[in-house]
Amino acid sequence: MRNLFTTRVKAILVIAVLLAVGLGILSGITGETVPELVVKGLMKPFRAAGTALTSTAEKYYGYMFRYEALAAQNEVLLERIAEMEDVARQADFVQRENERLRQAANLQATHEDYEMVDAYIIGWSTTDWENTFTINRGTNAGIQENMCAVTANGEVVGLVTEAGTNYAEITTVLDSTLEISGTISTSGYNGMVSGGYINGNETLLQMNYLPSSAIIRNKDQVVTSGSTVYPRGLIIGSVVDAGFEETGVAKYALLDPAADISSMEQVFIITKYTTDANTTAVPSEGTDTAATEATQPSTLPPEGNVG
Amino acid sequence: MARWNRTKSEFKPDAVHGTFLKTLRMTRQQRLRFSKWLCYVLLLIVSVVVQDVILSRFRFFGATPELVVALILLMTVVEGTEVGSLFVLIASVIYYYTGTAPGAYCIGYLCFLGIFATMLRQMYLNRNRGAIVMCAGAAAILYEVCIFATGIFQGLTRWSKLPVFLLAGVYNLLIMIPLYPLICKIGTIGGNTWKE
Repeated sequence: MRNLFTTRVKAILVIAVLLAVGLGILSGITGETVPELVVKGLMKPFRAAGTALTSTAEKYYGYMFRYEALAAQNEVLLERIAEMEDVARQADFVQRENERLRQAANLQATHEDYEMVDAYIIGWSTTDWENTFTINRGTNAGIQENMCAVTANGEVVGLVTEAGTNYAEITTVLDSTLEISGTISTSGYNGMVSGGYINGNETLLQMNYLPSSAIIRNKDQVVTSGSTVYPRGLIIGSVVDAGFEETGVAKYALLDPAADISSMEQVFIITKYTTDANTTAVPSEGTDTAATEATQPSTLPPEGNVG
Repeated sequence: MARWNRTKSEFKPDAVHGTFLKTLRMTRQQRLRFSKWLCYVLLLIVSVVVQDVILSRFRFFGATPELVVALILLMTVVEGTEVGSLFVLIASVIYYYTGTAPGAYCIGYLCFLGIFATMLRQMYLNRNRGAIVMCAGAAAILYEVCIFATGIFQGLTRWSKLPVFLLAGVYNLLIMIPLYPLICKIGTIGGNTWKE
């Protein structure tokens, strides 16, 4: 032991202790010292090279041995994405439905006499000469022919023209066979509203038999006059244009339908409502035909733009 | 003589082709020793990089082997007290400055443990693989115990972590087994200078 424990070794041990203590204190006071910066600076390229090599090796290892695992993982992730998209779609659908039902609840709160059945559109007519769609509820749900279909906001969509057990066909207001007695809400002029008249713009409605002296304003709202088929005050559309009929004895107005029929998913069928005479009307029992609804005499319109 | 000065030699002297080490005007023995220490330094640099980039990512039963510590201690024991003591001092200081070491106290631990392990080996054991690895390995385990004790003292670890530190020491010992032939190979460059 004495032979090996030379002065040099002793000196080195003393230096080691001094360095350990001194550098410990120094690093505590000054943080990074110059030698530390130099050594770390010299080591930096080696560390960078090592990291780059490791990354490359990992990449190739991944290519060689993890390809199948990654492919399987990719498949699982794709499935999950599809599931999540499905959930998102359902959530969207539920949200829209919730919104519509909320609006329908408001409508029912406004018109407590309405009894409504909600239904989803399951098919559209494919012919050019009719504008109809099919809903997923029929006589089982209390729907019968000649009942009025509206949106959640109380906008007229059309009329039930055929009712099966579990389905019903609605003829929309855009169809030329359907006529509704309407009133311009601001002026009180009455007329007959029907669709399919305007070549090249079949999405507009035409309101006929308006008095030639009628003053028709742009964006005037047209509502139902009220009958055994349509309750009073349902919104049909708003005026976008007006003019004289060919005979020159009456005016007509072009209306933009209030209901966006092409993008509808759900409609509400009014199965029962109370008329002004406080009699409960069940539309199917009443007389059909909006066409037979008498137009009421016109009242004087307020001053405004002449259509 | 005057005639020699008048005539110009047709031949140019051969170009001197020498390695970088030859240009340092060292003897062959010195060159070989220089090469040996250069190899040691390169090995340490590589070990620091491997430790930082690769080994630091893995934990085996919660412990990570410390390749640099294992190398320094093994080289110290292989080189013997005279050379090894100076080597362990310089290597531990540089190890501290690389930022891989836990603190400056590791300089003291490495020097003391390295030198005492070398003395133990030189005094009581033969110079063979088993003895060298055993002494260096014991120093590595004690080093981890010292680090643990410092951590406890500083409040950086808790007693339940002791097995992890011991396991790291055992890993260091196990690493020395494959490293020993490489260190011996480098150590014998320039001839065996150990005096025992």
